[in-house]
Amino acid sequence: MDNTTPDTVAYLYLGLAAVALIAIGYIGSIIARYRSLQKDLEVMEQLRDE
Amino acid sequence: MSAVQNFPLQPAEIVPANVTRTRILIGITILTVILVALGLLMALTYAPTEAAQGDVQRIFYIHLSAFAGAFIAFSVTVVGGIAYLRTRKAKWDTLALAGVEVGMALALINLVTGMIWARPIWNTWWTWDPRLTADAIMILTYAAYLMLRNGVENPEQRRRFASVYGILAMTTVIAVLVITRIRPDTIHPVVIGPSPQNTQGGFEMTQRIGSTIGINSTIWSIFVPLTLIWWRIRLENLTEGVRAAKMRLLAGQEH
Repeated sequence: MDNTTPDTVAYLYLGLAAVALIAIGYIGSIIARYRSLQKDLEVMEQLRDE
Repeated sequence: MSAVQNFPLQPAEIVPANVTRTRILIGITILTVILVALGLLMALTYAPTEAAQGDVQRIFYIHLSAFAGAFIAFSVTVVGGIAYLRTRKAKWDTLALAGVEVGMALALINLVTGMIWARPIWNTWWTWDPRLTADAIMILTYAAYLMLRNGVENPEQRRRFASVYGILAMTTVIAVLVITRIRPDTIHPVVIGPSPQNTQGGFEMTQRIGSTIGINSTIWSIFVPLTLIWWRIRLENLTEGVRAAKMRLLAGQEH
């Protein structure tokens, strides 16, 4: 029976990259939506002032 | 404070409360980032390398913790749904929506890390195991929540529908939790309690492994959902505010 520990570190890195991708993607989507709404508000304030 | 209060401009006395809340949220966000990094460091350095699986087993600390966070977020949706149905206050629906979206992100992390772990351990990315199937159903159920609620035009109907759906959808989360107890043919390892006979990829719970699981689960089930839900609520408040301001602006132009 082979008792050596398998080298699976590449899958660990892949997993960490996937976690980072999902986390950054979700947080990025919140930031993008927030900025888009802020721009909408600015445009509306300009329209109101005109 | 929502944007609807910002537009038209509100008296200055309500601004400090908003600033204080923002500061608290930023503080919690920084704390969460630090804690997640510490938890990750613990998983990568403090926890021992599992002899049979190698380093990929370390992904398990995030896998389990992300599910714990998703469970809390989906529970928040149930609380928000019940509170909305009782009070009919829109803020509870906002809380429920935030819970679903954050829960989805965390459930996705749980699913993807599980698939990556499974590749070297089970020799496959995916198998229709009872636990995995239940997990897929759970994610699809909540994805449908996000799609369906956008399809209801009337805000009151949308909130009522989403509340009932969000409460009922929790059954899929419970199914993921209990499926390994009622389906002994699962190969998915069980962390707490005895593993079913066919389990593949389980590991011995040492003191270091146990404390790494405990600390990471605590961080991901308290700080991560709290921070993300709070930010998501602010986004939704701003969305509603902009929508209301647009309506007001359009109404003003008509007169």
